[in-house]
Amino acid sequence: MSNKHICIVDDDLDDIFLMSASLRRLEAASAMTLTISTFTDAEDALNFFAGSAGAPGSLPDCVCMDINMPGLDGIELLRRLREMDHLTSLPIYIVSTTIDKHTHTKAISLGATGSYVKPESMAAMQTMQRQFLGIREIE
Amino acid sequence: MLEDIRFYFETNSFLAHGYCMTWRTDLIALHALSDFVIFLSYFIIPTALLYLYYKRSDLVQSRIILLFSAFILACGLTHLVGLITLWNPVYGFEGVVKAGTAVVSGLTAVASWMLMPAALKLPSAQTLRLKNDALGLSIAEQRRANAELETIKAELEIRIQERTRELQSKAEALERMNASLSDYAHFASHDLQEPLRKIVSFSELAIEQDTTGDAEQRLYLEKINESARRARTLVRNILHHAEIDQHTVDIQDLSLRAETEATLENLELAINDRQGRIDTDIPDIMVRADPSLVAQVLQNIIGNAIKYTPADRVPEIAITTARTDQGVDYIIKDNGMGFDPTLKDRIFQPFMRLHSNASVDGTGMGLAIVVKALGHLGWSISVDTVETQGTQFTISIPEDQIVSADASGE
Repeated sequence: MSNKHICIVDDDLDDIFLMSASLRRLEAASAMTLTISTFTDAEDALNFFAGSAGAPGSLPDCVCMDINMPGLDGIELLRRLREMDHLTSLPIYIVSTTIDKHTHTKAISLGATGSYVKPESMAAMQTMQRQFLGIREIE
Repeated sequence: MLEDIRFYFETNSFLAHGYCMTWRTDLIALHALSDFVIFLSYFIIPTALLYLYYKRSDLVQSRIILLFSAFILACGLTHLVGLITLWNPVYGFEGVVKAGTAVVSGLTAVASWMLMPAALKLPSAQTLRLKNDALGLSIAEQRRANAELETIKAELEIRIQERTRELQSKAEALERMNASLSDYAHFASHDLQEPLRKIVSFSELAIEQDTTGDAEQRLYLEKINESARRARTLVRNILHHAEIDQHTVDIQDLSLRAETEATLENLELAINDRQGRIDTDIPDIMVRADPSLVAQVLQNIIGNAIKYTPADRVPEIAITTARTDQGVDYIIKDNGMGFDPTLKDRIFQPFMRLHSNASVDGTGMGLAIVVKALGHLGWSISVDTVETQGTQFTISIPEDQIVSADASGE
């Protein structure tokens, strides 16, 4: 049984709840244990990753973050994280409400592993999260 | 002959005039002096006249002045000859001079009366002065009128400039209003998407976790989910509609056939769902247009053709093109439910739904998006329909946007 750690950075508690609920369903449907860590403030997330330098098992398997957040926004957080040497290979996904193409292109150019619009249904959410965690779709 | 002339001019047989006056010195001196002064005067007067004639030809235009001068000169000459004959009896010569003077005098006499009518009409100096004054007045009047006209012209120009400025600022205000309306629609629909997305997701979770087995409650939850999805589609369509205004047009060479195929690929799910049959017969036509606007138009029209076909009928859609004088027509014909042809013009208005039929999931925005996109493309659209039988949309692409149109197809 594999263990995966996913980190969510989003100021919207509803979205954190929905993403977590979806992840719990994925966990139940597949043979894996999921650790979910959440940050509602980008500043906190930045501090966490800055302090986690060098400790191997302390890094999540992937990060998914919103863009529109008060204070430090997702684009800036992405830029700062990519500046940290120990995070160069960490998959970082943008999951945002914005449908603006330029924002998504910018996120990719700043080193995001993928850039998504927040899914419109639970089914779409599951499909997206399977991609994040590398879980194959159940036929 | 020569002898006769010599005889005429001979003087030996005559006595000088002085004899007649018995050589009385006082008498002869009076005659001689008078004749001399008259001759001198009669010489000076025509000289003055001729001088005036040549110096002021504007003042003395008539050649009659020459005749008068000749006449006076001739009179002067007779007096000179008269003076000579006091001592020298050249009566033959005097006769010739008098005859010449007679001719010139006669001519002058006739001419002076012939000129009378014209001379009588000559304006007097006073008349001329009056006329001159009047002319001066009218010139002043004219100048004043001109100045007035200039003032009016300047005023008009200022007024035109003012009106132009007013119109310009009104146009700018309208443009700003339009832009802000478009922005408003954009932001409102964008922000509305988020709560709707949450309603959809949470109601899905609620349906999934519902353990009560209460059919009625489940129906309510499903209704919430369905309504939220419909609202989301509507909001997204409004967003698309608003976004067209903010879209930066990007003109490219497009193949109508390739664009149609791409659209059909996008609609594959909906087409397969209804087991629809699409017949396309599109020759290799290249147009210069914005690809995303063209895609919006085709997606909505072909999507509608599938959507608005009654559930018990297999959608049959024919997509063809036709060469016209003005360019190319792109025709989409379906066997759908059609509509009342009297409503033709209204179907392109936003939120216009002709079918309240719950079986059709429409927002009334599709054709409004089409019309807006076509407006930016510079294309036009017309519709023909038979209620319950089908609809045909004809999109006209103007000639100047056609790069190549191979009528023979491949």
